[in-house]
Amino acid sequence: METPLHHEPPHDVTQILKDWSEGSGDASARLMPLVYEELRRLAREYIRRERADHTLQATALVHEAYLRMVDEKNVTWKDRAHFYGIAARLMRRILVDHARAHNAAKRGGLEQKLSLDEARDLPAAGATDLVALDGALESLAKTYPRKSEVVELKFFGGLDANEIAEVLNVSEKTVLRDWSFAKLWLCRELSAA
Amino acid sequence: MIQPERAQRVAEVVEAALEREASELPSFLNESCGDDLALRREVESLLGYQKEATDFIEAPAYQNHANSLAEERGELKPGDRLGEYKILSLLGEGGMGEVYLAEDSNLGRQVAIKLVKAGLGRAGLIRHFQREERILAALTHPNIARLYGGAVTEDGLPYFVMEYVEGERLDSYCELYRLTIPERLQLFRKICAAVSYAHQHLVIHRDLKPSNIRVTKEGEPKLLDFGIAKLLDDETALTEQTMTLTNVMTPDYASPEQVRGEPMTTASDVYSLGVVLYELLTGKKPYRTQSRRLEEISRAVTEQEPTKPSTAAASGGNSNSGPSRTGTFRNSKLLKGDLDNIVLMALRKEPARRYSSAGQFSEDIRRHLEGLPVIARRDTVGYRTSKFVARHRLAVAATVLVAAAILGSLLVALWETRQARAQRDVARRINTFLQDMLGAAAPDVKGVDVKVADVLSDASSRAKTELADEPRVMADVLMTLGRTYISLGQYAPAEANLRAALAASLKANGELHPTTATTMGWLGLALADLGKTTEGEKVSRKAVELQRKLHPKGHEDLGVALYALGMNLVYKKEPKAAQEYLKEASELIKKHLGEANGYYMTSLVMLAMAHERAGEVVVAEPLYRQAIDVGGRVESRYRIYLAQAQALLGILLINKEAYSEAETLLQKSETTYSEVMGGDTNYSVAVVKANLGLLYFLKGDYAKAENEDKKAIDLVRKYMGPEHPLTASTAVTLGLSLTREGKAVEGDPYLREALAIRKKILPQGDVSISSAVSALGECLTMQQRYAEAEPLLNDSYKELKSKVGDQEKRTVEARQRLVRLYDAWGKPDQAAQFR
Repeated sequence: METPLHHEPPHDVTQILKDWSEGSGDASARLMPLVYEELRRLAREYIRRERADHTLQATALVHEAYLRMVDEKNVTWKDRAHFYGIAARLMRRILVDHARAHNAAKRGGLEQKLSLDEARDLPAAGATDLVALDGALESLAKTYPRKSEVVELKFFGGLDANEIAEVLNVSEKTVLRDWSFAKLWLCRELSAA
Repeated sequence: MIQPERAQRVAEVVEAALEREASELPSFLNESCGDDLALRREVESLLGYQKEATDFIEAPAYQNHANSLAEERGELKPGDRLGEYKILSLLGEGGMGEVYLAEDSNLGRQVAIKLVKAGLGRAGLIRHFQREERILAALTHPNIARLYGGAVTEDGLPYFVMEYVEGERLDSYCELYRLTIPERLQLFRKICAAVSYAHQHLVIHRDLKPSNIRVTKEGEPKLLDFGIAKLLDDETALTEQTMTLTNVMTPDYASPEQVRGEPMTTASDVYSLGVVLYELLTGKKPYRTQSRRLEEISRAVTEQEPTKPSTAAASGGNSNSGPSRTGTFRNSKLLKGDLDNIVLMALRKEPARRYSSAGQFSEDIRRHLEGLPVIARRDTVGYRTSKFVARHRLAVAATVLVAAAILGSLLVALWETRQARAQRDVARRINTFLQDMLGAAAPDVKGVDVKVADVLSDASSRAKTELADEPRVMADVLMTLGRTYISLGQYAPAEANLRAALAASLKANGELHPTTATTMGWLGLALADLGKTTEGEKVSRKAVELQRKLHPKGHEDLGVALYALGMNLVYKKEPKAAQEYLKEASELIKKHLGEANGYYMTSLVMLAMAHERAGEVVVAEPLYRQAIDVGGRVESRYRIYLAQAQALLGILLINKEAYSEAETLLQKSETTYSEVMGGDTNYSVAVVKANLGLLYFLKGDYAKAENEDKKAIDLVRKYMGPEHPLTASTAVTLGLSLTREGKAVEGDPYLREALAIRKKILPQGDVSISSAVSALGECLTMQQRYAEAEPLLNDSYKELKSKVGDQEKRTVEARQRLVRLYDAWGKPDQAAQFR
């Protein structure tokens, strides 16, 4: 038997997205917690089923959350863009918060790992320092807000250039240029820090 | 901040520059920047990061930080306390709970705490956890992460406290250090040894997989989560009343019987070990599946024949185990033949047709490594195609084990299967049964079921005859029987069996061998209990010497040997010399078996005795108290030792004249004994009663003293014999109590009995003889037999005065008796001489 796994029925998300398109100011705030819960729930579900060496793609996660939460027949491409934007921002927040907490633990020199049944290991050392990156992205957003958004959608949301172009309503070529520039800018910012 | 127009210009130039060929770049920059040197510097600065930027953030964040998204907020935060543990950080988390790094504030060591979130603690559930946890905590093996204990949080979440292991996952370790096939096999054999050890202790891992096997910097494998899966499984069964594929199970490593939800046995672990080895050798999983869906993997496990390792290794490219590994060590030719057969034998669908034990599996690998013929043969077509389901499950239920009849049949099974190659493992397993179950079932001498005793003696004689051509097995069996007799308090048959075990082990294994050394330790213990302390000391010294060589870093068996040595020395009246050994023994036992452990308690008691008997009462008293504290937390089968510790501290306190606490302790001790023994009595009960009698006598409560001593004297005569020092002391106390109650005539024969015993067993002129003489004098005075009393009181007073001095308690008492004699006799002048 299938049981509803999230508290809000799907049409609510669809409705919030429609409200948003029609200029409702709090739509984004109402959407955030729902998408947040769904992303986490899906991630847990994936990890339970998959082995750790089968890496789950963020794109797949966001797509699935979208398909589950939104009634596609009743939304426009703009609603879809909103949704992906929200999802990417949430992914960024979750991942950065976690990294911040983990760094705090690491400062105590506590990096060792232990398995628990299907426990995943905490991020390996050497992976991008998300906390620093988050700070650098904020600086980037001051001068180049769109480029910062491109990074958020691609790196945290896992979207490809085509999808990002759709979300930001710019050409794919612009997205690629923004991406190349942002990477240089962020590299310099991070190496200066 | 940079102007927006300016920023826009920088971006334009950089983005355009990125689309130019390197050769065009200088002219492009000259053209775009002109003499705007600041712009040019900014553009060139950014372009200077092209190399770093190539791979930067190209992989989506989620790939490297996958778990954080799924993470449920940890129940505990750094700094939180859980009992004596301080939480330091979250190490990982999964479907069933969370793992924290914590610090044990008492011991200052780091531990891993596993918080189980899957189920909530109802009372029965938690009891169940605690029971299992005790079994797991008994696993002490260098390649198994220790389970220190378990408890329940205030919120009702069960948690386990485990050894914190720093190391790489087994598979990553092998890849990282590019181990060759022989190196992998050697490492794998150590894992088999650890699994085999656990099986001998009746613990099945049930969830063996590379992530549960860590390899330390020193290259030592450590198995994590032993038996935890069972605890969780059982809990699921209890809560849901159904057995389904739980989160616990990792289908890739699960055996067919596990996938089908059938009971698991040691053979299931052998299967999982087979999958682990398969992966280590080939880098692939044994089954080809289209997807990673649970159902499909489960079907493959039960129905598909695994691909031959050599074939799997030969087929390059991507496998279903994830990203392909680049190890260059793999040579499918090396796997062909023996290794194919060995791995496939472990992976057989029918448990009964796999290796019969992890030890046998490991042994076959050794044979392969040494170029000897292996047991594993290619599977026959008949077997491969049949869906024959073997039902040879070893039913292991603790409840049936206490029944002598079952034990008997297990022993029969042992003799019958002795031709099987697995005999040693079977023997060890049955040994463990005997040892643990009989020890638990019959805590004291009187508790021995006659039938159990018969089974034991039968087992012993059969072992000696039927295992004559297999001295190794015989040594193990006889050692276990000896230990079992010790735990039953039957030291004479223990001695006989241990001597036979030692002879067999020396012949089969030589001197420097765990069985030889451990047998010597237990023999030393039996000899100490039998009062054969000269030989006992010699044997246990040798045991200590051998154990130190076998376990330079310490081991529980070294603890036992040291304990035996200390005990012999204490009983030989060399308590001072015993102290250092007993101290080391108690430390080792605590370290290897944990604090809440019966052996730890007894080692503390013996250490306390060593100090008490060396006159260091101040040191002894806190040790007894510590032992009693530990005794409150150990398994009920060790409560007999708790009673002993309570009695010994009570006696110590009598000497300190702290009568009220002494009385409480002795009464507690009596209650504990009667609970453990169901109202039966033994030697120790006699001692406690005699001391309670003495206590009441010293307090001046003669009626109570009489009552207690009358019960005590019968027990003392029964257990110590008619000519024992304690029989004499009890008789003195009883005789004097009666005398002082005004029943001197009744007391008279007891005092004469005491005097007769002391004259017989003590050297002439011993002060104890004089104090008995003096006591009899008091009794005669009360009977108004003054003339008879006078010489006794005079002589004994003189004796005591010359031997122990004028001021000693007994001399003072003797003098007062003279005063009372002459007062009663109406000779005040003579009385005045002694006032």
